[in-house]
Amino acid sequence: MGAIGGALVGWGSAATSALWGASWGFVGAAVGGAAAGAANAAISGGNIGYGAIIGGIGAGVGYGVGYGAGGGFWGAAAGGLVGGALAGGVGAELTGGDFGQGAWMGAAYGFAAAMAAYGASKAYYSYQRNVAINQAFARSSLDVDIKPGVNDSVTSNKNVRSEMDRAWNESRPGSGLDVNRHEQGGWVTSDANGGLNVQRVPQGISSELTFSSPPRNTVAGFHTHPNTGIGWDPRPSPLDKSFTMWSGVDHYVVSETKIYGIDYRTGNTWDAATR
Amino acid sequence: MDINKRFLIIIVLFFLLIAEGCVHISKENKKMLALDKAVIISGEKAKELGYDLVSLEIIADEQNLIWNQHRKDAPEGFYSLDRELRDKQYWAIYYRPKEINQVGGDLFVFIDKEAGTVIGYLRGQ
Repeated sequence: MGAIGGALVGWGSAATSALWGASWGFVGAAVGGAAAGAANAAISGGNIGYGAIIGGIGAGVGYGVGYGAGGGFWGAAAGGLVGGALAGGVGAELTGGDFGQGAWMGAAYGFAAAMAAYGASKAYYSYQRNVAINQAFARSSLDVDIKPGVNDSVTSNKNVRSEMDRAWNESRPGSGLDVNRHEQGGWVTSDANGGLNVQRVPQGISSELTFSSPPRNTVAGFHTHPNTGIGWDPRPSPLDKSFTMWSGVDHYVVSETKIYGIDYRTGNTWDAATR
Repeated sequence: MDINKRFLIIIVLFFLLIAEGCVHISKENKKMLALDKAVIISGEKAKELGYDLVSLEIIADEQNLIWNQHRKDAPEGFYSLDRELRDKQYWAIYYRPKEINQVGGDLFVFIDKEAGTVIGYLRGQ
């Protein structure tokens, strides 16, 4: 009876070591093991205090062994065996049984419980990952619906597109060292006839451009990304996105191969045109 | 089994648990570079690239939130850095100008959590 009681504590220790430890680390494993040890002792008529202490220590040691073995399948196996054996042996000894017999049974139960817990946690994380992927997919579908990459009203306007191309060429784009390379940009405004015009802002420096306040009837802003070498981001940077949201109008980034749009309401980007 | 023997076993096991916990914690601390040290290393890189740290705000957090948010906008493999960051644990330290009416001039510096070295950088423009 003592050996079985000890083994039950070992079982609880190993299971909680694998399950609680996966989510809350070392402390989680020890606390979970203590709870399982106390519950097993209560069920088998043992001392609840001893059950809790042994369960906690067994689960904590089991977690440590599993961590030291590199985690994963082999970590769970090693942690289950060692934690289960320790808790099972001590539990048996304290409840009047034989230490060796309790340790063997504890190790066997502990191993089985750790494997079951390992499988359950793998299935749980796989489920969580699938949920995250589905949510990301739903979000990206939403972004595409908000801003289609074709027939963009700003980049398909010949006047605006011509000004964007001119700004790009004036930026002296390239990847090598050029002290005269600088950013260009401006505001896109609408006139009374519905036409679009561009008001350029003073040129910036190598990788920065300061904008004045948007003029009346501004519908968008744009600037160039003339640095094309390694280490330079051709896409809109986080600061480009926060500037766009601050400006209150959509913004366009003219890069070597594409023109990217930034939605002023969300900061989301889209491929507005190919260059 | 008398009370003293039981008490002794529990005491021994208790200290075993404490010792193991300490080893575990020290192993974790030794293995991973602290965020404040990563910020110092990244600052040196930023200065080397010509950035004026006085005019920049530094943003660094445990989850690399700004980088992860920025990274998801581009297709996988878009950045040459993707290959170097793959399978590594790293800090993405973000520097941005304090001026609000400005575009570009921001910078990510990526620090290897285990080696404590600069993996690479990405410059906004």
